[in-house]
Amino acid sequence: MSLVVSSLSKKFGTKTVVDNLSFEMKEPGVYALLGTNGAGKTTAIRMMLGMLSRNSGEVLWGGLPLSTSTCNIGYLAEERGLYPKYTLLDQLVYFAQLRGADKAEAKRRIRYWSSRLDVDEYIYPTKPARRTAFSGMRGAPGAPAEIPLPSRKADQLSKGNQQKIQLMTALLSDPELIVLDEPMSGLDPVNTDLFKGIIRDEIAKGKYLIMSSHQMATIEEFCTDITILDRSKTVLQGNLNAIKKQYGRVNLLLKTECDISGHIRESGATIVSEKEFEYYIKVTGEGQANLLLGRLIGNGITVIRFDLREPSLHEIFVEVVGGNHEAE
Amino acid sequence: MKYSLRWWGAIMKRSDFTGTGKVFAFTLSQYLKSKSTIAMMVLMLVLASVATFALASSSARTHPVSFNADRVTIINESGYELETEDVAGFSAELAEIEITITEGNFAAALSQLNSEPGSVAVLIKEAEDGGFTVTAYTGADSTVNSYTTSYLTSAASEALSLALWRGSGVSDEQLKSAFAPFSVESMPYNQYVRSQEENELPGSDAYFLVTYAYSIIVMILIIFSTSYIVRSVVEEKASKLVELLMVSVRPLALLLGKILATMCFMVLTLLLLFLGVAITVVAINNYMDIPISADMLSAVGINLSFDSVGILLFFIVVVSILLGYLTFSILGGIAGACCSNMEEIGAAVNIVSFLALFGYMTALLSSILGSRALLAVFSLLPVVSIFIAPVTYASGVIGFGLLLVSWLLQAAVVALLAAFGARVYGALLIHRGNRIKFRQLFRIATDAKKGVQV
Repeated sequence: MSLVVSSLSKKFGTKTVVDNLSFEMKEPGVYALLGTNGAGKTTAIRMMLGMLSRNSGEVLWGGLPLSTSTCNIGYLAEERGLYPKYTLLDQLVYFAQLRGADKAEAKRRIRYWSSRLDVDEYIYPTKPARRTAFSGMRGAPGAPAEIPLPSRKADQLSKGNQQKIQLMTALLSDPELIVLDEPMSGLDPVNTDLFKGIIRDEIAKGKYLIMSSHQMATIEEFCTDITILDRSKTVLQGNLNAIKKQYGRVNLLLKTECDISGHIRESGATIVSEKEFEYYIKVTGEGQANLLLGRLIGNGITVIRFDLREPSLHEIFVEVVGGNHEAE
Repeated sequence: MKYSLRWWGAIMKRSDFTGTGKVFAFTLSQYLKSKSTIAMMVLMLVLASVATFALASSSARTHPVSFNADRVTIINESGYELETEDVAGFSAELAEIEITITEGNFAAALSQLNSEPGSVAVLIKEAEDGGFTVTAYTGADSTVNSYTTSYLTSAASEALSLALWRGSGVSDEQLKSAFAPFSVESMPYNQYVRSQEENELPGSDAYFLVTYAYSIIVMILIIFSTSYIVRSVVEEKASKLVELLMVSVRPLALLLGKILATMCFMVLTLLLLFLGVAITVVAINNYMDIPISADMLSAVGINLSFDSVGILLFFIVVVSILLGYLTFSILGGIAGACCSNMEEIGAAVNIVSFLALFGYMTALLSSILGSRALLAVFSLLPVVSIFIAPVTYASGVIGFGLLLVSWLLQAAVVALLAAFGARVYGALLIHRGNRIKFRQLFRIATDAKKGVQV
């Protein structure tokens, strides 16, 4: 299977919101669709999934037009919601049935995912069985320890737990292609790790994932290929490692036991920040970094940490997109 | 026709309707699980029962129940000779029962009443002031209703009156001419003139009443249903669920599922109303002294006989209501999708309600004006025809051919709305922000037409 997006464009009136977007996923993995607010990421995803008509272009899955009949798609939308007044179990069964699962299979999958996402207590709430003259002591043989209660309603859940239910709806049909629009926004660190664990599992299962996020560290953690959009146009595209290599190793983290700012300036490097003799420095490349290191050692300065790295995705993004915005 | 179908087929695809059944089942199940809906349905059942009981009670007073005695014994202590024919001739009901006239032996007649639940004894005797008293008696386990006993006293009084006339020397011939029946009627002159015109509908007041009753039922049904549909669409949109749903099901299937579920819910509610009426009728007939009969309900305008309605007319009403319901519910769905939050529901419902009100008022106005030509034109005009076409057909203003044309026009409007809905509904569901205005809808439709719909 492969996903091919070619020359996708969308206009609202005279305004172009997605301009000639093309990319390809030849093998399973995570593809990142990045961009500033309003760059056209969500519109592009909506067009890919057939929710919006497009002015031009096509999206192929295994050589056929992408649709729910050609591909099992799981989607976590940027705008997330649940029926506030319906029980969670009812709506989850409904969502699974819409994706083709029968009721029994839907319930089996809900049971699995509720346990995996740690939301059993909301979907299958219980209360301790009361002690009565007939049932004897709580926990006595034959007496139920817990009595099942009706499933909770969505408006009784915290935002984080609602987000877990929404991820569950995206994964209930065991999709081949998973589209996650800002999956981690608003999650606490514990739930972020839970989501990351699930994403890793899906990658290991050989799924195709398209992820859109503003959390560059998360994207960097999972994605192999990226497209950065800015005001409807593709401004950077390719393999993340290759892009980073193009930029070279220009970030140097240096920690010493004394003030070395004079040495840094004399070597021609730029101090970005400094805190308790830990310097974050911009160098022109490996040569300048090695020159600085030799200078420090030659002056008998103890170097506790020397970490020369390529620029982060965050820095690349800011440079690519920020530059365009400054030019206005 | 061929081009129309091809055009419609190009806009609508079979896959547009995939998932309709699941949306329908879920929406209906959630309607029926809602506590407020259950409370409303119980209330409907109770209201239907109470209203039927109140109607029966009031009707029993103003429109008496059926005559139900098997036998009457008149104990004549007046001293005048009563004729059995005079009693039997009082009405058709009395001609069919056993009538015995005796003089004296009142105690024997009374004792017989306890062994015959369908018997009545009527005692006529001279009063102290020189007049007469007429009293009816029934047994302890009598099945005879109070209307019948009162009816029998009237018949006995009438027979006594004739006996008194005869006692005064008046012959039967003279009595016949003196008591000949006559009726009175009053009519304004202009109504008399109109009633002579060829184009006038037979019984225009009745025609207006039928139009009024039918169109108000249709309007209530439409306004109730569309407000449910609008609410359901806006709730889904406001809860930001549509994107998740649209990965699995097409927008048109989402709307159609809701429309069908709401229709089923309305039919269930109507059935519940009928159930309430039926339970009350059975209960009253079996356990209370105010039996309900079809004749009695007919007297107050409710006709329970299916034969009198006719299967064809029933079918015509169902098809007409269905077409009207589809027209307004698709409009309601589109109007709902134009909103982004719950505060805008009122505006969306108002648009559809005003249109329904326009159709309803036009239907009433045309029935008041009473011109056959005008009624025929309005029977063909979509939106208005929903409220009027079955009535004009039933009253003979239009024939079956014109009714079919009216249906075809309505079906064309439904098809146009569905095609328009298919083009704009998806984009409307995703839209966030201010409510979409009418003119903006056409721009969205044009944009969608330019785009490649997948």
